[in-house]
Formats: sequence, C-alpha cells, structure tokens
Amino acid sequence: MSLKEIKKLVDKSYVNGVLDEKTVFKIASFLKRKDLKDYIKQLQKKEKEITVEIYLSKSPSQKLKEIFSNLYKNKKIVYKIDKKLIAGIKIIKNDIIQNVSIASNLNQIALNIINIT
Amino acid sequence: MIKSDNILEQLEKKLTSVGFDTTTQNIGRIEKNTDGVVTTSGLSKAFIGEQIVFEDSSRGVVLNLDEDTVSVILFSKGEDLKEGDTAKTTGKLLGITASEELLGRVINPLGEPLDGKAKITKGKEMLLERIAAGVVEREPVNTPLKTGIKAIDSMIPIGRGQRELIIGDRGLGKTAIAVDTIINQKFNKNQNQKPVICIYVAIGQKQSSVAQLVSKLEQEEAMDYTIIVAATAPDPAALQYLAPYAGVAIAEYFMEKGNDVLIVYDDLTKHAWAYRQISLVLRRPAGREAYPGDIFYLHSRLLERAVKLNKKYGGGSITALPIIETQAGDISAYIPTNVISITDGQIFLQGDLFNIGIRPAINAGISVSRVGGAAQTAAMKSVSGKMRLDLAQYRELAAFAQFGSELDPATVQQLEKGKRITEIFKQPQYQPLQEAFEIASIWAVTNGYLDDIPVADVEKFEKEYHEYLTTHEKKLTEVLSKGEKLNNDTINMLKKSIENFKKVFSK
Repeated sequence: MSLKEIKKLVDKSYVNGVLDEKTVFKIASFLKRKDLKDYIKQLQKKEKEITVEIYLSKSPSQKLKEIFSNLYKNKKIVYKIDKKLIAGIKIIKNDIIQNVSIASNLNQIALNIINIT
Repeated sequence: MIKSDNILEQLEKKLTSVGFDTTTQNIGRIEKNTDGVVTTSGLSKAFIGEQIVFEDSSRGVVLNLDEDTVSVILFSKGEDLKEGDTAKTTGKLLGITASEELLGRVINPLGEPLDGKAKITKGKEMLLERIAAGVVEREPVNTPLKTGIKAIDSMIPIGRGQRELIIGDRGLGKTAIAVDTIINQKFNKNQNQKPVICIYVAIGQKQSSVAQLVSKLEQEEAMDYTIIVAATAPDPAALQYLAPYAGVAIAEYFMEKGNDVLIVYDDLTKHAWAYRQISLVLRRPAGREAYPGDIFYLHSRLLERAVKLNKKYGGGSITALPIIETQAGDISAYIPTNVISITDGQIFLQGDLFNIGIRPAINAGISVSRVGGAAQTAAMKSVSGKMRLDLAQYRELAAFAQFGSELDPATVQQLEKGKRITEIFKQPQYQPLQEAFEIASIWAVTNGYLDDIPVADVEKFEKEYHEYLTTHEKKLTEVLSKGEKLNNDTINMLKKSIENFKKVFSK
C-alpha cells in the first residue's frame, strides 16, 4: 500500500476531528504488518499535528484556558506542569517549541556568557 | 585572559536588560541511525545545509529533505544517538571560524584543533558552501607560483589562481610534489615575491601520514605559513566530504584580504568515495560506478572557487592543486576524467618512469598547463622553450634508436643531450630549488655545457654547481632571481660561471 493511501486511511479514522476507535480497529484488521506499522506511524504524526502541548509552572486558570482554546481552535490542547520553567509558558505545536519562560532566558544569558569567555 | 570583573559587568548588563524574549525552536525525533546518517521526523523548518544539534550535543548537517523525514549526516560516530532522541535546528549554515591564528595549526573541518593547542575562538565565520567569484571579479592568471621543481616550473608552469591537477597511481610522488611546492614558498621573501599562504587538506589519509607531513613541514620551517585541515581515514564520511570545502573557506578568508593562497586537496578520489558512501546511505539514485548523479558538481563547485581576483577586489588568489589517484594508470576512469575536464592542466606521474629512477616521475609529453607562459618569468621562458624542443626530439629519437645500432653523429649527440636533460630533471624530495638555480641548470644543459659530463655524474655536477653559485656568483644569482629576460650580459655571466666551475669540478 502506498503512503498516499495510508494517509487517506488516517484521514478517514477521524470523525469530527477526533480519533474514532472503532474505525481504527476496523482499518487495522484489514492491514498487513508492514502497512499497519506505516498506519500507526501516520496516526501518531496526525495526532501530533492536531495536539498542542502547553507547559506551565502551575495549573492554568479558567481564563487562561479560554484564551488558549480561542487561540488554538480545532486543536486538542494538553496542559502539563513543569516547575523547571520557574515562570512563563512553553508551547509545543507539532515540531515547533515556543518558550517564553524565565528558565529559557537564564539559559540564553548563560550561553552568552560562555561565548564572551 | 578575561578578568572576572569583566564577566560580572557583562552579566549585570544582561540581567538588567532581561525581558521575556521568546525562543522558538524547531525540533524533530530520530527515527533511524544508519552508518553516519540520521533520519528524523519533524524538523519542518529545516533547510539544506543547516546545522542540527542532537540531545547529546553531537552535530550534523541536513542533506536530504523528504516529505515526512529529514536526513542529517553526523560529524561524529553517533553511537549514543537512539530512536526517539531529540534533534533541534540551529538556523545556521555550516561555517568555519577563520583567522590568522590558524597559521601553523592542524584542525578538522569543523575548526576543532587536532594539534593539542588552544581552540580558535575569534575570527570571521566563513561559510563552507559559497558561490565562486563571478566573471567580473576575475582577471587572467599572470603571476607564477613556483613549485621549486625544475620539470614543472620549466615545462608545466603553474600560475597563481590556476587549478593544476596532479594525477597518477599510488606511491609515485603526487603528495611529494605538493609538499615540495609548499616548502618552496618560504623562498618568496628572498625573491621579492608576494608571500603565499598554504593550506593542505588531507582527505581519508592515514593519521601517521599527516603526522609525518606536519613534522616535515616544521623541520623545513614551512608550518609558519601553512594550515592543515585533516579528515583522516577513521573520521566519519561526513567530515571527509566537508574537508575540502572547509579548506577553501579558510583560503577565501585570506584571499579576500589580498593574499595569495595555495590549497592542496589530497586527495579528491577519497573525497568522491566519501560522498558516494553518504549518497548511497541517503538512498540517492546511483549512477556510473555507483557514484551519485551530482559527483561532477561536487568537484566543479569546489575547484571553481580557485580564482585570481582583479585589483578592484583585492588582487588575491587561490591556486588549487587537486590530487587524483588512478588505478593501474587508467586516466579514462570516471572521476579522473571529470576532474581533468575541470582543471586548467594536469601533471601526469607514471609508474614506468618512477621505476627507472626518473623522480619526480612526470611525463612531460602528456602533462600540460593551460596557462602556460603567462605563468612564467621572462627568464624561465627564455631557457625553457629550447629545452622543451630538445626533450621532444629526444623522446622521438629514443624510441627509434632502440632498433638501430648504426647512428649518425648528430643523432648520437641529440640522444646524449636528451639523456642529460632527463638527468637534470631528476630532483630529490624535499629539495625545491630557487628559480635562479633552476634557470642556471636548464641553461647549462641546453647550451651543451654538460655534453662532456658523464650522465652518471650530472647530479653531482649540478649540486656542486649550485653550491658554487651560492658562494662565488652572488651577483649572478641575484640577477637571475629577478626573473627578467636573459640579456647578453647575463648570458656572459652564466657562461663565465660555468666555465670557471668546470675547471674546478672533479668527476
């Protein structure tokens, strides 16, 4: 089965933007081992594309959650706590990381000092 | 040494100006790690030639952008990288820090020192991949680059800004020619010539060979103006692939400052092998001899960066001496023919000449320099023209004379002269000659002053004649060093010197 066909199957596995378990198992039962491996890989990739991970140093307030929901419409938002940020936010969307935190700024200062010396 | 006060001051400045800057990174995850090539998913913002950093701080460069994956060649072995590890883009193309501090150093293609001395931290960042200077910025090659090897300087002269290929089987003295050329550049000061900075790029060679070379250059006081870029046999194919580009990037730094640079690529055959290995692992379509389709472009874009800039752009130059190793003298193989078609001439070394004692084993009949007389001083041009003719006539007669036993006196004389010219062109390794001595030797043999010297004594005669010139004929040496066309006065001085020497020479 070609990659294009696998991707079509992946698109069919989503109903209203959510992964449908029944469809997934039905498709999986018809696939050969190699195609199944490609199908799983593409599903993981698709999940990554529709998921946004938001790291915060403490639990988000309701207001903050609403802001993010409006910002990332049609995306699945996953909130995670990471105290190492100290304060600020880290957003991982697919393969882009945007970091607005004290920890990343301090790291940058440290790197600049190393470059000076 | 940076004082601690300075560091604290810098730190305070940074802290007061700290704001919430957003850092954006593009990441990927390793899917496969095979033979120095890592396949990653993600890295959607990566571009070709971009540096990638991995979780364990190892680095690589992007070479393939596929629909779902990005292929990165590693600069290290990558044994610790496993599936799922993170890779990040840096937003930077591959470059090397170049500065005057590199002179006398041995480094790898990433600029890391291999000689145990301090890391080079300050300098200009030179990109490894760059487009060569355009037509408008160039001027014709018009200044000689003296190799100190009589056979080359007289018959296959090399100019500054030229690309001259050195080609032959293994063990015939290709590297020896390049090393003698580097050593000979120390005489530029004596001859009022612009100094030449030398860069030797070792690709896929034994580490012992590189160590031996460094030791020899130090002994000959040539390391002061030489840089060695080494990607030896145990290094990853990626470093061997990048080594020549790192070398020419450093050369361009010095050239842009108005300097003349000599760069030796030893050797491009191994460079092609490294690129073939990378391309096959990257699953690029294999062509003739399993080389990828862009193998010609690999070398053409490298060698095109050897250039002679006009005065408006600084007047600097890069002279390239690429080396190609053939198998069983086959110069019609794929890589040799590619590089021959790119360069401005070639020096052929032949095994049968080497075996009968003609060293350097240069076949002057099929070697060529497309720059020719424009890369010779007037003095050398005036002596070499007649000598080339004599040698050509000798080669014709030598083949014919094998069959005949009865030869006329003129033919015998021609043959004897040819033998002496061939003998004069023999030269020991690591003993490049200054132009004055080259001219004196060639003038003496072409004007018949060696006809009464037995062939076996020609080497001794020449050596002692040079010593005689150094001690007794300083004025003549100075005149010849200027490189001006030989006038009657100079010719008379030459005649007198050789006649006087012959009186004291003992056979």
